[in-house]
Amino acid sequence: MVRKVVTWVDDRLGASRFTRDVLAKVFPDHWSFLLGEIALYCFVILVLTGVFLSFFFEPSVAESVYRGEYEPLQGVVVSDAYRSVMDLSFEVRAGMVMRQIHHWAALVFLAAIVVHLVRIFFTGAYRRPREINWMIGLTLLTLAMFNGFTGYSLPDDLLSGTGLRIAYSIALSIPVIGTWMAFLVFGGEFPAEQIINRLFVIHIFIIPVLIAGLLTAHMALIWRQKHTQFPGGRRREENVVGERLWPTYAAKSMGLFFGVFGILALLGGLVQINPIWLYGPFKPAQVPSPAQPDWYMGWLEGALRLFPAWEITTFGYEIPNPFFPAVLLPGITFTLLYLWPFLEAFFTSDHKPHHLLDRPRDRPMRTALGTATLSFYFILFAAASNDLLAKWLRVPVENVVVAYQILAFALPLATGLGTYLIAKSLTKREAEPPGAAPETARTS
Amino acid sequence: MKVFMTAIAVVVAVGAGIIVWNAYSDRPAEPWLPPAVVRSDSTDGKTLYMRDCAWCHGAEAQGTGRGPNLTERANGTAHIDYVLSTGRMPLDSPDQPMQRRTPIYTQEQIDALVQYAEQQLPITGPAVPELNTTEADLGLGNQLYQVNCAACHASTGIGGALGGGGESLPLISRKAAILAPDLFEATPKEVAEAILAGPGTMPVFGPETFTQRELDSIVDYVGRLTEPHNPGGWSMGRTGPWSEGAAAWLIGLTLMIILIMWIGTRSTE
Repeated sequence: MVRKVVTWVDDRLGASRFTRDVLAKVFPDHWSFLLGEIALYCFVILVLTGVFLSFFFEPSVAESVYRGEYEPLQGVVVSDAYRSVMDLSFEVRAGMVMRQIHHWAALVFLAAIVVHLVRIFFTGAYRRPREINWMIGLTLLTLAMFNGFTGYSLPDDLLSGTGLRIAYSIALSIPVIGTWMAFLVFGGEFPAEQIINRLFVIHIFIIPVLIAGLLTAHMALIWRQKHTQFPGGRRREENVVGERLWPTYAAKSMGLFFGVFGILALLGGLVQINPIWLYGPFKPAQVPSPAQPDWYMGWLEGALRLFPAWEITTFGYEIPNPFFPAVLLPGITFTLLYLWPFLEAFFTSDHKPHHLLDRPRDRPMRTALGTATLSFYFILFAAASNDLLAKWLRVPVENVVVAYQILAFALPLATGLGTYLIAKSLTKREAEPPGAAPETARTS
Repeated sequence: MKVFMTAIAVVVAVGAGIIVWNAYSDRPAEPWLPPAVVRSDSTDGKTLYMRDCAWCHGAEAQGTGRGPNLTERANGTAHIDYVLSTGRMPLDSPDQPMQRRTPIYTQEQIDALVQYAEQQLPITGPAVPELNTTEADLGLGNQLYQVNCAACHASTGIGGALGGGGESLPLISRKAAILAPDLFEATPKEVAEAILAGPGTMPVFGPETFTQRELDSIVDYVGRLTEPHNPGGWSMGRTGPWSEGAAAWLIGLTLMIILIMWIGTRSTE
């Protein structure tokens, strides 16, 4: 019976040959090649939990008096958006755990993307012919950050409202077009009534569709161009050594999906995230403190906190201060990231295709640049919570700011130099024949 | 490698030198100080005041070079009861920062001191408040807390850093930072006293700011806020997106990386 159905389908679609090719596809083996897959499965879980949440969320800032389960909020005027997230958390069955899994999945999604990007960078996997996929990956990172921020803003609580206010001010700071752009996006002067509804459409429709499309392209390109592999063993530039898709790789991948889902469910069930009932509804006259964005926006927040209060004037007009740390810096960051494969090819005059990965130590210059850059953005990220650090250390915030300003320059230099020297000494040690060491020990 | 190590050693040595120099260079000449207050059994307000407080605040609460005038700010016995029952006073030495500590006095001794201050010293300002939380409205308290308190003590009650007034201090300084403390250990009476008396840099929220019912409602909300009840699970100290990001990396992604290292390991070869 099964055979008959299968033959019937195959007669019409000719699917068996295609399926056989697909299932026999070979994937190289290394744990770090699964980092991107963690991100992929986080996205799947984001879509699953997000669909559930969208059944209950009301994207409206119309106000009503809260009469729900959470006692300390009773009698307080709140927006429909805020109230629906409160109801979702306290009254909808499994609403709280779904919300928490969704938010945890978003945080881990971005963390996985960043680690995946770092792996690609340090192993040189973006080199010809994979420059396009590198750029698609970067676009996915940008979209994921935007969608994280829009999702963070939807509950209309005091913390996320403060984040939106910062976003609005950053938009205003863009020379010439800033005011028009801020009004266009927000639909008027902050806090505009349109923004929650617009964010909702962007968050649940526009960006997820773009991400899904680009993810497909991202994986299709891996398929078409074949996955890179580390040198060694039988692995050459012109072959791919590893497991076939069916059954080994598919089984591993399914196992990973359930593992990722399990870990996110554990976090969602056991660890509290974004307690909007404590933050309260957004009121334009209030600002919470300490206030941080979700971690992936931390570097921008930190840049805003560290950038000196300079008044910079050109052609008789002052360029608003937030423009430099919050528009120019990310602009430069992503431009350099997009151009990196071409910059490296230009500076190293290496335009050949590469299918074998580099070991980071064999490219000390690139590796040193990478760690220096990472340490710079890490300091920016850490500076986003300077007030918390000041509180724990019991020192004035101003001192923490100055310390971070110094570290933002000193740490990348030290890290880059240290990385370069370590990489050099590692390759040098490998080059020395074994047994040479006692000789030098005796003479010194 | 040897050059590299030497460079590190030099950097560490110079850094340590700067820290030590900073820590000692701004130290003022030590004035003669009274001995730290020790526990005693006396429950006589006058005895306790004259022995433990008058050293710095003067016999008439007029203040000395070592401690401030207690009548000047007119923050009343509410403030005296607040600093004594939170252990902020007496200090071991005048330059010690005022922080919550285990009170050195028993409740009976604190009451005796407050009574002495009320009757024998020229203290003006709010008295130790009476609370009536049966009339309190949690929702009202919540709103008032968000508007008046959360900017410094945080919506979550964990407190926060308030900055040094824009003044840039030496990088390593003995001067303490201005902090709004967390509220988790504060009793309802202490919360009300702090609102009325405005200890330290905290503003005074007197009867012209809050009615008795509003005061009761804020106190009631703070009590509710600081309950160790977190409907979402482990609160991670309620430090917000900071700790959430840390958990996403150190628990979430770390467990997943361990998982892929295990999945990615081949059983043979």
